[in-house]
Amino acid sequence: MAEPSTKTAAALMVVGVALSTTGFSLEAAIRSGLLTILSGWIVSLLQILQFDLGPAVIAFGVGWMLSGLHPMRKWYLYPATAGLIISTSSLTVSNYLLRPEFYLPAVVMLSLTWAVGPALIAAGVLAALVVNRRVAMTGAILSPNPHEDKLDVLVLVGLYIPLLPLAVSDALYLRYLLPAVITWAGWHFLADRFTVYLLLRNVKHGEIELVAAEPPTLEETTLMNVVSRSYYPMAFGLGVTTTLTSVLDLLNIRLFGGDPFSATAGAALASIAAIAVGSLYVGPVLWLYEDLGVRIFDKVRRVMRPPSIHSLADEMVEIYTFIFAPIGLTFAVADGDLPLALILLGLAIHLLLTISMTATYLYIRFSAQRHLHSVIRSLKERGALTDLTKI
Amino acid sequence: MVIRLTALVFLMVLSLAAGEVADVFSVREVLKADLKYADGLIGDDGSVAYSFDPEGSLRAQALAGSMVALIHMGLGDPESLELLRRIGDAVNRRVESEDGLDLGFDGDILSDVDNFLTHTAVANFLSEYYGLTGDLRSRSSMLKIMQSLEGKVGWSPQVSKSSLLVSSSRISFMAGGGPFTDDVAEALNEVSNQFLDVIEFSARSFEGLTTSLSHLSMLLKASHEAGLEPPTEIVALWSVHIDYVINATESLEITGENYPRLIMALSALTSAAENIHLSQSRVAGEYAVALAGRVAGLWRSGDRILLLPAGVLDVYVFDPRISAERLLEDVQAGVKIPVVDLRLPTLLVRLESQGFETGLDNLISLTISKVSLREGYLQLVERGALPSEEFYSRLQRVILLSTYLAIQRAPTVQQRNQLVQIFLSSHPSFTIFLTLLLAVMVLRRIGLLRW
Repeated sequence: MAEPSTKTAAALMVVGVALSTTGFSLEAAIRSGLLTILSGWIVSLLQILQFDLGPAVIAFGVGWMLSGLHPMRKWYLYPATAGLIISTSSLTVSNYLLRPEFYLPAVVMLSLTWAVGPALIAAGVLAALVVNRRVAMTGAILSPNPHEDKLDVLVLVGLYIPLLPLAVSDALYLRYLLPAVITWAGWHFLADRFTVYLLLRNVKHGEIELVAAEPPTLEETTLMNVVSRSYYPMAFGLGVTTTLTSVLDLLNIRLFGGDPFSATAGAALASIAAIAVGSLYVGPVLWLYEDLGVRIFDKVRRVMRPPSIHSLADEMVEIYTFIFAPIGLTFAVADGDLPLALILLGLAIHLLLTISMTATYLYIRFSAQRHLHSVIRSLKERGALTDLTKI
Repeated sequence: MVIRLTALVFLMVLSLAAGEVADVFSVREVLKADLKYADGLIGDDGSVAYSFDPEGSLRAQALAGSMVALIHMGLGDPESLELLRRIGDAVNRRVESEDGLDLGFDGDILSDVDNFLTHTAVANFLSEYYGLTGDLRSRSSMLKIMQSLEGKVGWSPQVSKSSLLVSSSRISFMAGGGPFTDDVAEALNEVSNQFLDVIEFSARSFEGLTTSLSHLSMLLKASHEAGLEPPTEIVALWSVHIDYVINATESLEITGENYPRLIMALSALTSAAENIHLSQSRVAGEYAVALAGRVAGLWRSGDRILLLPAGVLDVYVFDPRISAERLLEDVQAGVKIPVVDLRLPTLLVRLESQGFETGLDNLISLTISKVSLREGYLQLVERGALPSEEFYSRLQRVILLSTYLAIQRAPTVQQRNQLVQIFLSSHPSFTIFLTLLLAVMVLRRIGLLRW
């Protein structure tokens, strides 16, 4: 099976329905006295079948089927986006519903948040994996999804939905919106000039030459583009902060005091500052490097290489920083409490991803194209850009 | 099954916005220092160290246990839990074999007063231990002790199984666990049955009145936490008690001499104010704030904390080496002991946590910074006033600091426990999907999953 098959999906849905029904009918049997419960765990098992495993398997089946309808047109993006929206909106609604008098709605909301949503996301991601492997093996080309440049907005909306109850609080604007806008504004006004400065810095010594090897490619605001690009600023921000905090922690300096939540929030805020300041370099500059189509030609060694950012900054976005440093940080903050550390990590990532993604979206949507042209133009005006044929 | 979850993001953003009264980190360090001290009081088998109490009395063991239990309530760390279990086991063993304790007051190994003090100290410790660990052996031991005590001195709100069950539930809740619903239901039942005894006890004296109010308030709070509906007559009795305590306190002059009664009234009204789900709590809270403001004038002068007279019973019960004879003599002679009383800041911390603006934040932070000595301790009684003066001073500071920390930690711990329940028991599929997605992400980043 190399692509999401509708048969598998249908089978999964049937299994899910069967699991749920088993849960409900066993409960009914116990209530009516047909069966006697032997131990407490059976009750929780029934709960899991009814409201967790059953719905999750059904949702996974639905997501798999949706992805399989038009695999070559990236339909797997739909279940993934829908999963996020369902999870975040039911989480928000459940804040108002979780009272003893609303038992059933509350349980359904929890089920949507923690079982259905994640199952849809997982179905989308796994389908993407299967489809893309298949495509890579056969050499076919995926056609664009008709709604790809609108789905990213939906994902952004999904990330902001849990913050709706905060709409009246200043904190929302100060912690989430303001940093995103400031970051984007910084990128918008500085990214092109900074890129030109970095490129020209080496040219002045005369050892290298800038070559226009390919025509510049325009960035699109497609979902995968925004998500994968916003990874860099976020990972960089996390990397800088956590490395710094770990060092300070070793030296027994507590940078972020207070209870675990405020300490993590403090650290996340520092990461945001790092995103705003440092991500100019790992964010837009890196993207411009990739999109300009410019190569650096070393006149001495006669080799051509793509322009790159400093390796230390690159390290900051590497996976080990992204995965391990935050865990170390939350461990220091959460005093060795693993579940608490993981919850805090999740919160910090939500905060950073939201900001990073908003800024990235705004940048790709409103600034990237202009910057691409202005960088090429100003390189050409200074006579620093050589045509490939003239080397 | 009642599932509750409030937005975590909300909490995180709010905690960003809120300022801190004192440095939580240094408070934790101080409690850790006290834990080390408490460890020195206890041998490897949970018995009492010779230096703490040469007689190795059960009462000393229980008092040391209480110190560790309170530290654990504040820190919630594994080291204090380990020490707590060690003492808990040893105390339970001794209670079961009636070693150092005379259940039923029918033997002659201990004088009645000694036996009484041991009963209360051990019962208190076991209720704390049961609250923090849910250990059922301690529950039955503590109920047995209370039975014996009730048989000797008769039922009163203070000497009752309900008071212990409620206090266990309360400690469990403060430390981030769930309330003990069945126990609270049992306590409600008991108080309903002893309704007239409560009234009679309150009518006896000012002390009786305030004790009853404290007890009723904690009972109502615990039933609210447990999601139980208390009988209306208990709520009505509670409301009446608030009015009576306020009226009785009105007639007290704010003088050092009256301080023991003032602090009792303040303590009862603070407990009443913690029932924010009941409208009458506002009256209690507002009066408590006003009273605290006036008492604070006695309590300190500028940055100096003044010594105030405390009743013998309020102090001696915390010192295991005070003999029964001395206690009796001093009570009869009406002796008052000058102490730096940390009950006032503790009550202020509790009032503030319920949203009452006391305007005395600086008193709280002044006290916390004064007692938070990492090396040694702040002496709270005059030298020579008590044989175990260091233990007394440290225990009082532990009560203040652990209350402060537990209140700070409570929302975090509650959220954490609810989420852990969701991830592990009610929605395991979320954990499965999360693991799957993280695995895909990591494999892709390290290049093992290319397309």
